Amino acid sequence: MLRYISLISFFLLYLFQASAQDDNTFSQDSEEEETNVIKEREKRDPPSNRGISIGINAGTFIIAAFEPSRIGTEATLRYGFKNHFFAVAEGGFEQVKFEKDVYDYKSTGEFLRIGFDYNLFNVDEEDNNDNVLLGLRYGVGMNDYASPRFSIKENYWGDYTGSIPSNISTAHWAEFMFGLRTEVLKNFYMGWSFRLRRLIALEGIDTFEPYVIAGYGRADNKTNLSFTYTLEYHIPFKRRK
Amino acid sequence: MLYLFISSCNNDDIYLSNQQAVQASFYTVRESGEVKDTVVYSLFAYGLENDKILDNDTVDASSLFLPLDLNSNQTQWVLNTIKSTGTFSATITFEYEKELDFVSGNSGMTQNIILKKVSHTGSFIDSVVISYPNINYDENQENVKIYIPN
Repeated sequence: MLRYISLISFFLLYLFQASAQDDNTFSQDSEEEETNVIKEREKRDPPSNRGISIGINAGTFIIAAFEPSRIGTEATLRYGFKNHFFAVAEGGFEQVKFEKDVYDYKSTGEFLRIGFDYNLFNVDEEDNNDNVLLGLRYGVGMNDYASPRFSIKENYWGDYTGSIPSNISTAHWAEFMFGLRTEVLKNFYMGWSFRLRRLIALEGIDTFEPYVIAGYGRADNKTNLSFTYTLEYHIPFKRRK
Repeated sequence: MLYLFISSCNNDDIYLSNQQAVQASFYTVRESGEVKDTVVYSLFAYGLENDKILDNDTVDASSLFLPLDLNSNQTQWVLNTIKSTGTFSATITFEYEKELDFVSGNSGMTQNIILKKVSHTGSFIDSVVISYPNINYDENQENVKIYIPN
């Protein structure tokens, strides 16, 4: 009798072990599959994309160091959504004030640029959230500007002097950007970009054009090349499993 | 933003002096009716109410630039020519309108001028006519024809 009980026990134990092994194999397969799915999904939609980043363009302080007549600041808002895309909004203001022999000038301007960036960078390395970005922007800037004094040189009869009262103009431009963005500390990003801007329209010009269009650069130039240096804090969104 | 401008430094970064001057040329009408440009010898000119001789010199000229007073809508110039028989004078009066114009961020403003009327007194000149009334920045156009007796 004991012999039969032992045989049944071994048989049941074998069955249990086999079953447990099957369960384990199934569980391992399932985990691997899930990991692959996540990896694939992250490749399509990198972790650094998911969330909102807020930041400043520190390049405005650099330009103020080289051109003290121009003082401004710029903030950046970046929202990462699927497939490597970021929606981006950049806004700020700029004040310009100078005195030349031929004219004095002062202006205040605000601007907004909206568009998107595409992240070209695909990397398998875990926690590498760096981006190589290509982007497009539409920009609009409003400037309130005036010339409190101007002088037109006339050597024989004497100079003509006058002033031009305040005028408000609106500028529209398109912008192409290429840049890099890297996570230097957890959720802290540093980035730079080159911007190629093309003026589309300058409206509301009465007597003279603004010297600088806020967010665009020198109004004399129909095309401007510029540079940004951004510092951003990233607020990540958790992915639903 | 560190702005790097594509365009090079403009060469208009200079004071816009003497841009507002009438470019006048001298002509004679021959007996055959042919109009021919001519040279006036020993010519000097000064602005009425200024009396400073233009360029401080007497010249032989087929054309000359006569600056306009930007603080007025009328300028008068006295032209003199010294001949063996004496000095002959004529006064030309220019009446014009001005329009403030912006040249560039570096150069500032200028006045574009439209000649409305030109008249003269004195026997040294037969007649004066406006050939191109606009005096604009960076243009090089003859504005007035001055006809001298043959």
